Amino acid sequence: MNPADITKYADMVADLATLGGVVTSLVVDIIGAIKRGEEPDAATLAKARAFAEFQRAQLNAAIEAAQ
Amino acid sequence: MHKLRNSIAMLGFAALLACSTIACSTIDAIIPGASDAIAENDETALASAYVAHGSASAVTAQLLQAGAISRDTAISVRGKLDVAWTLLKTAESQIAAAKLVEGVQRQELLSQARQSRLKAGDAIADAKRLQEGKVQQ
Repeated sequence: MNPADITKYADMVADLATLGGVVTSLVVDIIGAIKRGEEPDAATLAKARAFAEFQRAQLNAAIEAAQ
Repeated sequence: MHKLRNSIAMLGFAALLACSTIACSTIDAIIPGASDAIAENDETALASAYVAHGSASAVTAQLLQAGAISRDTAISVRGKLDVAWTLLKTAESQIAAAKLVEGVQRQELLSQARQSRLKAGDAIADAKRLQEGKVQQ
């Protein structure tokens, strides 16, 4: 395997690890909101929506780049 | 090379899937009745759906970048996710509108919001199935 491939796969693993951290954090926020009995939890919703919007933009960019 | 690439992609996919589903599958073990609370709290349920949507988008982008799925497949998955996105935004608007009214009208709007969210969940599930079925071996 050449160094460029190693870098590419290392970057991918790092990206997925970061993503996993963000998703876990959001899930913890949601569980925390339930624990605190908060209803409705507008802040959690806003964070989750922002995460989805960002990832949606990332997917669009990846599709454009793959042309 | 392809095996390694796909292994990393699938490992990442499994890890992300675990992140978003572990809490759902074991959530009641941590907080008894929490799953019911998520289902009953419209905004919390919507937040969970947004996280699922974001995770599905992220995994699709990673698989495409790794060459594990084709661009056409990614576009098909995005089509499903776009349907889900529209439904999630509709659900959010319906919840916001429900806050402005009372009684039967409020219940009706919340019911419509739940339906929109459930349909969005179905579209996200379709996107995941499409993605998983098209990963190149």
